Amino acid sequence: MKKEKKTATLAQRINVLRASVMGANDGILSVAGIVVGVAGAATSSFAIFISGIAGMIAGTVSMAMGEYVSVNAEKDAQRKAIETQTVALDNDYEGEFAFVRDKYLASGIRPELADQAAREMMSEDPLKTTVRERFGFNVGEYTNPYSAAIASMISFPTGSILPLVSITLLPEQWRIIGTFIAVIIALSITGYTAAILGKANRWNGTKRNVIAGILTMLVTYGIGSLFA
Amino acid sequence: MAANEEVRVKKQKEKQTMSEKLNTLRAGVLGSNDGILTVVGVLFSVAAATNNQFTIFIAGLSDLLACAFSMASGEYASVSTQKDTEKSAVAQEAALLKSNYADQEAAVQKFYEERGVSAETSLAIAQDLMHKDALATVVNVKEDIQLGHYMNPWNAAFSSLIAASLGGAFPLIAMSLFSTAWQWPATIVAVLLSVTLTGFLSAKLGHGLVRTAIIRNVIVGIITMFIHYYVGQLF
Repeated sequence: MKKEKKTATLAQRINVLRASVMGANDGILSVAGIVVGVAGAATSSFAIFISGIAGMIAGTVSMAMGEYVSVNAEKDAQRKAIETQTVALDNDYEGEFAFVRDKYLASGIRPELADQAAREMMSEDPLKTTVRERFGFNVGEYTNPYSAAIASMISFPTGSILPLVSITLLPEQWRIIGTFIAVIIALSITGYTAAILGKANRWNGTKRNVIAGILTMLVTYGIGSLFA
Repeated sequence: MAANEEVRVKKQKEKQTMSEKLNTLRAGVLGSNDGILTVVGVLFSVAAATNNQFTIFIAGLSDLLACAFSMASGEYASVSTQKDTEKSAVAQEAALLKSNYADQEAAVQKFYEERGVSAETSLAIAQDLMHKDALATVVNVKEDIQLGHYMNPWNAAFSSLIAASLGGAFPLIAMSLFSTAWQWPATIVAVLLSVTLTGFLSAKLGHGLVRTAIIRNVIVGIITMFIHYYVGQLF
């Protein structure tokens, strides 16, 4: 029992760590794209800097808002699902029963067993069963999104500092290529770390991340220079 | 009677792939919303800090592209990684089936017991399903994977790219097309209209409360625009 609790908190911690790494990754990539694009249009250092800062804040704010909206939307949907099912069970129990049974039938179970299983589940807790089968969540089980959300909101601006600093501090003729290189190195580190934390293929994870970075910066630089 | 059952079962299966499509659509709507908010954020901060129309435009455009590509590559990475993880999980489960069939069957039985099905019925179901397709059953029950049913990462990336770009285009076009006198109100209206739309769509697709979602989105849009304008003023 104790071991189960330990693995749960370890999994949570890994989740938060992974959210941090992905947040930092997002920060690096989005702001790098912006500053390289604006610099490609050969505007003033002030313009590049203010665009970068704006991008950093915009990304963080939008991430925070996105989390807030998504958490509340999920709560709404769950509340609505419970209401809908309570009414449905009152008005058309047979219809709800048939839905559950047919769903199990569709997953390949023999008709008699599907019927028996539906009967047992519906007699034990019809609301929980129908909500789970129709809407895919378990009544009473709510995930805590806050720690991962806060982690990403701290790591995003942290990540974005890298391209911001390199494009601002490097001498003008080196700033774009310097930022490019700094970003690639940073993305390979975050890509690799994210792959470890997500137990994914490390080479693939790193490679995809670096290619994404190169592609983004090439596109924004290319389009920026069209306007130069 | 049997024919009716067949039709009903088929409709169930179709409904399931429908809900996957709806899920993807909803992710697209959220991506657009992200695009709207980040782009208007950058536009307002930069516009509050400088009058240079070109700077404002290029900052907004770069942000739109950066945001869209970053989101798209995030989607690509996430779906590809999922594909990798699933393939290795499937291999793992296949090996376990060979080495410890009894444990695998017990896991399937437990899955149904946890849902309220009696022990005997669960066992019968487990045996029935394992007899028909052991690997598909085990990966579905233990890892929530549909065998052979892999999402295409390119599709996910591409839809994400389009969604975020479309969203960001609203405020960018409003800000760039209108003269300086009309820019701000035009962009504000464009943002409020577009987040109303995304709020409406995401509530519809996510079985949520439509009016609440719209009001929430509008308030979030207003707060976002405020924050960025005042931050820009600092510069």
